[in-house]
Amino acid sequence: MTDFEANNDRLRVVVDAARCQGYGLCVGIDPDVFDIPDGSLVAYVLRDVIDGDQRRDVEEAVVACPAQAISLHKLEH
Amino acid sequence: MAVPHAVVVGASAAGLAAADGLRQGGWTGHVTVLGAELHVPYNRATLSKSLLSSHRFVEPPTLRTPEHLATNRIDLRLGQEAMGLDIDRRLVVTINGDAVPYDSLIIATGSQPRRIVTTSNETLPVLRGLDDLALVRRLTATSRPVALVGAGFIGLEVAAALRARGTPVSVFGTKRIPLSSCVGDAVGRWLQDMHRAHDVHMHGGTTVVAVRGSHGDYQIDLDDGTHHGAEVIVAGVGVQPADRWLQGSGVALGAGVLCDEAGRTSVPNVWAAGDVASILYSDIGARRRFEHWTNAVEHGRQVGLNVSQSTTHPLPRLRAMWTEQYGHTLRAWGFREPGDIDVVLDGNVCSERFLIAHTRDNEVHAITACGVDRTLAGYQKLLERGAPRREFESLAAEQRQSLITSR
Repeated sequence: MTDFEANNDRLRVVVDAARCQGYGLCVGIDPDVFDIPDGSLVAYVLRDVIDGDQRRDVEEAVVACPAQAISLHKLEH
Repeated sequence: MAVPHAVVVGASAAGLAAADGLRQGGWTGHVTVLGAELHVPYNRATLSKSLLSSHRFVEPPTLRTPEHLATNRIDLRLGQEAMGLDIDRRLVVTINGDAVPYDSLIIATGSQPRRIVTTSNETLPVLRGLDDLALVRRLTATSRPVALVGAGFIGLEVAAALRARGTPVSVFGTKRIPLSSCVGDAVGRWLQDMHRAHDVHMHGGTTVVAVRGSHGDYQIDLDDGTHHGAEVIVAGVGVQPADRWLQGSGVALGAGVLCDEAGRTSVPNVWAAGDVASILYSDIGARRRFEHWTNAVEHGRQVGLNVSQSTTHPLPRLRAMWTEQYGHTLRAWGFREPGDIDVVLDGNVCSERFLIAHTRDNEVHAITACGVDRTLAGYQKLLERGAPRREFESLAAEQRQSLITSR
């Protein structure tokens, strides 16, 4: 479960390729983190570790994903 | 004190987002979601796209995993279509006769397709739910030609999906150019040409006045006096809010459940989200109803947060939608207004890679885009805050510049 509390943890962004339908909403929201390269049917994570200040857009993508394919995981220090 | 109970009516994109929003906002009481269908909540957006075009029947992706529901203590009850609401005793009455008590209620019953009934009183099939998909797949399993009444997003997606399986298709739309009021003439024509290039018979600018005959032998009568035979017909003529169960309940209705910017209805502790909600935005003095996935999710979540945190934050008002046809994904934001001028900001329609702003004077009302997903985030933000046209143009210029530099 994504923890939406504000904090400064570094997070790992994961796209579940089995769930992803390639809708591309995530790319429209945060092209720095997500991409669907030409010919790919699923989204790729361009930058899989993000900081607190990049969190807002990624969380928006998590919520907006019609396939619920994106998750955020706290990184252990 | 008894544990408070939040009930969400509708196991939809909006309803499940509302349940998540309740938990994210710190709601510690019970959360119950009532679903009308017996199917585990699934992704409706795939029905008219990949699930129809695939040669074999594929189960749609589910909206939430059992683990997610368990972790968030969301009690999902299926086959519990809401039939009535008692606002004095705070009960939702379901089709099984159950009376479900609530302290806070979120109405997220979505919308249902408008129906076309033939002169022999046969209701034509539509594509809205999983059961509809099974029926439409069965009807179109042979390569008999299919007529689609309605050239909106669903009608065109169904046409493209059926062509992928080799089914002969005719489309009957009321507009001369499909979707022109939403995406402009140039993009509408591009879509029309794409369908024609895939051998779809596109009939535009005519209204179906009657459908005669019965399955296997229909006749479609158009208002231009022509008649067209069809063996199979699927209707895609829009949706209407699923609010009939609320008639006489005391919740104010009028082309949807009337609510304010925060999602509050006319009845205390009763909220609405998703397709069913008709939201009054006080600053523009107009109501808006949204029939699209992204909005349903945003609104559901915000209403869940508002209920759990006793806030009245407004529901986001930027309409967002997308459609997939013949391998192209077309995206649109905002509401294009009649008489808007369509300005190309990036690419061009012929190249199948474009970004178009729908404008009047210095205002930008909407954008339509294809193949430029990596540049969209900035434009969405400009639309959200109602930025003037020159800011869109500077952003486009900036992006062209950065493309040149990166090469």
